[in-house]
Amino acid sequence: MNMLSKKDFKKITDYIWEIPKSHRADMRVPARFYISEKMIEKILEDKTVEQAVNVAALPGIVDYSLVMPDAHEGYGQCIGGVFATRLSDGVISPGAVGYDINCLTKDTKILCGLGYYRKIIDFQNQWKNEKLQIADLNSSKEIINTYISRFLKIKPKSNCIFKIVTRSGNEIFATKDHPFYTPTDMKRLEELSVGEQLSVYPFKGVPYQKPSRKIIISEEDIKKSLLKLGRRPGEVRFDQNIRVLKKRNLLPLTYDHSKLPYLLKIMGFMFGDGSMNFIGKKRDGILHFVGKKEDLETIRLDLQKIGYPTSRVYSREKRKVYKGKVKYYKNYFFYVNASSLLILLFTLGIPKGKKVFQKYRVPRWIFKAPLWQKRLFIGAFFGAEFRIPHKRNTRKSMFNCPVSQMSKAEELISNGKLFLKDISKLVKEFGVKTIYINQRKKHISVEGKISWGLDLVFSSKIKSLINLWSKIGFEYNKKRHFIACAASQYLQYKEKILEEKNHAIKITIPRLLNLGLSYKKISAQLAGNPLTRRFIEDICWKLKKGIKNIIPHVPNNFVSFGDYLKKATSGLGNSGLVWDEIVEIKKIPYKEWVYDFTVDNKNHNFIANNFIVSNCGVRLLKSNLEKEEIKPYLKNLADQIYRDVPSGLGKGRKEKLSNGEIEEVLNKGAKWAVAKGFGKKEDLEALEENGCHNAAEARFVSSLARKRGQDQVGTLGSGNHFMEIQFVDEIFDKKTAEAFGLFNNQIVVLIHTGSRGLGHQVATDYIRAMMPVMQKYKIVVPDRELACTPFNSDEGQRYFSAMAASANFAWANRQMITFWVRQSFERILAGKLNYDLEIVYDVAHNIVKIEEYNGKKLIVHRKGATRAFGPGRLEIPKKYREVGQPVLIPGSMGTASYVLTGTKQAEDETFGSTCHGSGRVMSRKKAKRTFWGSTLRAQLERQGILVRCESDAGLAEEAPLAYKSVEEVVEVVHQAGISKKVARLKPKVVIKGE
Amino acid sequence: MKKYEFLEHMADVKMRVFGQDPEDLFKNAVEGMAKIQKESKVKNQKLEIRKPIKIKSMDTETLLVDFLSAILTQSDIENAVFPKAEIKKLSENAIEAEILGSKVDKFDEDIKAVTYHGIEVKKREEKTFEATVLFDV
Repeated sequence: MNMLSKKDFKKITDYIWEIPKSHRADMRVPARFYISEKMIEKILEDKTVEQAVNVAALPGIVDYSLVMPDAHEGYGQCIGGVFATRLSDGVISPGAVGYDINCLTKDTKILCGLGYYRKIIDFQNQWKNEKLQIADLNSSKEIINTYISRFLKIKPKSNCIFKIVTRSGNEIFATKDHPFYTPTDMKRLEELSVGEQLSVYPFKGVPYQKPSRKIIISEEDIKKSLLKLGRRPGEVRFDQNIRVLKKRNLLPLTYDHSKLPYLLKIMGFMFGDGSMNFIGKKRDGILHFVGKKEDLETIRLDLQKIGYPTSRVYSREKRKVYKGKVKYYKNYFFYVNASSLLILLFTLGIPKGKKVFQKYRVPRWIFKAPLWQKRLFIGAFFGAEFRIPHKRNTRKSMFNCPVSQMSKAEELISNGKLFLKDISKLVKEFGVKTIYINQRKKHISVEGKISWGLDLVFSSKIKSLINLWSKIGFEYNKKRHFIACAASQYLQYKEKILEEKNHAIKITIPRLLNLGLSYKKISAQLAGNPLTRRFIEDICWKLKKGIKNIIPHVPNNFVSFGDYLKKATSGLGNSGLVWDEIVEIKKIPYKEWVYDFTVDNKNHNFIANNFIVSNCGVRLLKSNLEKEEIKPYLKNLADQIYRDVPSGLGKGRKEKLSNGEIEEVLNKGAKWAVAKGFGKKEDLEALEENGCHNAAEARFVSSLARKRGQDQVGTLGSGNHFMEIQFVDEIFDKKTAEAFGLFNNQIVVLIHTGSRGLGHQVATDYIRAMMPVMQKYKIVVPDRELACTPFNSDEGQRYFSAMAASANFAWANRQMITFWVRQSFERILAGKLNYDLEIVYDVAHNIVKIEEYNGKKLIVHRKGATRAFGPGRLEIPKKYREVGQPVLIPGSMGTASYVLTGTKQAEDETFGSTCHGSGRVMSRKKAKRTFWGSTLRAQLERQGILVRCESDAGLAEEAPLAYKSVEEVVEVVHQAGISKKVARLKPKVVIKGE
Repeated sequence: MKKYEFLEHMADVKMRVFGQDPEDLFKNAVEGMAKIQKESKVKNQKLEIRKPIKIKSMDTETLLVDFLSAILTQSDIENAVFPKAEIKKLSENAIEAEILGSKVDKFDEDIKAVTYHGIEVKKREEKTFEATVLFDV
């Protein structure tokens, strides 16, 4: 790190200074400091700036690494720092969807962007240019393509892996920490159990095969085509086309050309719903594509990949008379104006002009292509010319024979049949059978030309259908693809049942019959899903009778495809993903390598572990009382609170929480406390998140952390944590103060504390857990305390849940302290004064949350910073929504504190964040050397402030002069506009742990 | 030889520990931490609480932090300080020990966490060992 100086700061405004991204090579965003010019020197005294720069280097960070005016050096990130990272989605592995393909065995098939799969081990040396299919589980619920950003292999720690088998026969081998997408959330393999659902992607594709270097068409072939089309060398329309094709790098076109896959798809579609011809005087080449709007958009993208811009998608209303009724429907289309592309496709074998009247076959060269390239061609052809998987109305578990249709002029019928035979030959390679070609219905055009409809009819045998829909599938047709995915999964499920029945008919039952067992005994022995007693006895009877060729059926009550479709795809959109049930989980010894990679999607989200150490926060209670009214009772009140609210070190509550109770505290936060009688329902409305972080999961908080928390809930703790009875000293914004229920000289109570030992233990546990796995995620951080993992990694998610649980502990803690404070007030003031203590607000200072800005969800990290939402945000209580969120800024002990309000500007600039306090400027040690606790106490008491704190040393450490002036800090955020001053509070009683 | 010393740090306590060998270094670190928590207990001979601790880490540096962290956890749960450690096994990245301590009414300083920040364990020329640990208080 270079020595930083004031010169490194770029002035943005009077109150915003920036260290630009260029300052250090690894910075991904600039670091922005909300400080005044004169604060720069101070901030350079410790490592605050360096730490903010380190944070700017974290992967996934957006906009800025932000620093508030009260910042000082921390560990890893500075205290007073704010940043946000992108939220992610995930990848898909064959048979199972996970957020990360997290340690799979070497033969695991990985589905790639172009519809082929490769074994994960084959990615080892060449993953850089490979695109994978992944599921966007967050928003669009679609399958999308993305690049791989890292690949690695490791040895499973436990020397074993697990095999999961699902109801429809999918199998996957993975390590125990591999995450799976289930209806409730992501779960690790070890948390899954038989009977649970997990999502699978039934589309399987075909194996990858490296295409050859062989030339499909060369410049010479194009020249031949041009001659055939009546163009002569030397003419502009001759030379130019060749020049354009060469410029777009399309000549010569080989099987391993990177653009060939897209050309194959376009060709498949052209044989179906596309057409091309030369038009107008100049004989310009034009290509026309008709289809559904969303599918046309995909085709346009592929054409752009080949190098041709297209028109936008247009729509046209069309009138159609069907069975005597007039119907209107929208027709979508787009076109490409490009002679060179037409000539290229023509040379590749696409007919020009009306296809009905053209003679054509499936181009011969396609038969020589690898299977996956053939798939792209037929898949796109089927996307245009195929019936959607269609169930039979009479037998609801069966499907009609799929049909591929074409029309052909009467004189070309035999050529049409040859084309369909070509298709038939191609699909045979995928294990798909066709049965015959049907000639139907004559059509006579206005000009009197006769054409016939030709149907290529496919077998409706289960195996053939599964292959058709899961190996070939549909390109450029989302709807068909979606139905095909579900249908193939449905059939796989059905097939498994039939196979089991067949096995019983052919093998098990005959064997038992041969042993001479009675029907009853056999049925008793074999009965079980899907074999019923009745079925078994029936088979016994039939076999005894000598009936051969017994064909098994699925039971009458077998789920219909319609019902299955609804259930299996619920919540998964039209992605093609379906739910499948786990039927077996088996542990298998395994000592080989396992493999792992991450995709280069929005997936680079990191959560930095060190951020949350104490989950501290601050709460303000308001009373009905004025300063003068309470004066006679103040001393008694101070003593009472000091007794009632355990603040001493090591003086935990007498009663410990049970294991069950602590679980509740962690999951429910302040809600638990209120349910237990430590407050009223209305209290919850005035808390950030209503006092319960919804990501909390107690099970991720270790037993050690729980033990530390058991006797600490409802305690203040030590260090900079304290509480004060204060009065409203000045009001800056009358309207907002009124909305907050604040008035001059009003008595208020400020409580500043966190999650105590439990929060520290959670942080310690997870830093320990994250450090060794950072290597796995290829993360290098400039400081060990910045240990982090991807947000959506297993470790990241577990930490997020545990951190949220400790935030809940903190909210419950402040709720219980509120209860003890109310009790103290009651004891001293009952019958004398009507005090009525209500919560103004409660806001966290250390927290990680998912929040939305400009429609984008981000992971916002606040470490020693306060949320400061402006007016209108739904997250803030209704009663404050017009003026903005109350922001509570405790000053250092004995000095002023502030109430501010959040602003829209904070949402725009600082992820809705502002400062949290005054910020230390002197070490505790130096403070102890510099100030005498007893002198300090006397000084405070001279100012009319009562101090309740046993230890003078503890008092000295927190001496006001050891901190920045809170006035200065608040002034900066006020001037910078990220929050606005509402009221100043001054202490009457200070209560502190040691 | 000095066992440990405390250095200036803004919001925290920084400790430099010395030792003849790694075992000595770890023992002194335990004592040093206890001194921050409760100075008067360090010389106390009546150590009535015994707790076994077994830890594996990535390397010696993280091992030292993790070891002290584990003691701190026990200290918080038991309301006790543990100035003494009997080390049974110590390797580059693993330790097995028993810590000895006694109850306290209150701590001098409430250590929140032992941090990895700037942690360093190094061998000095005169064949002694030295480590720097930062405590979050």
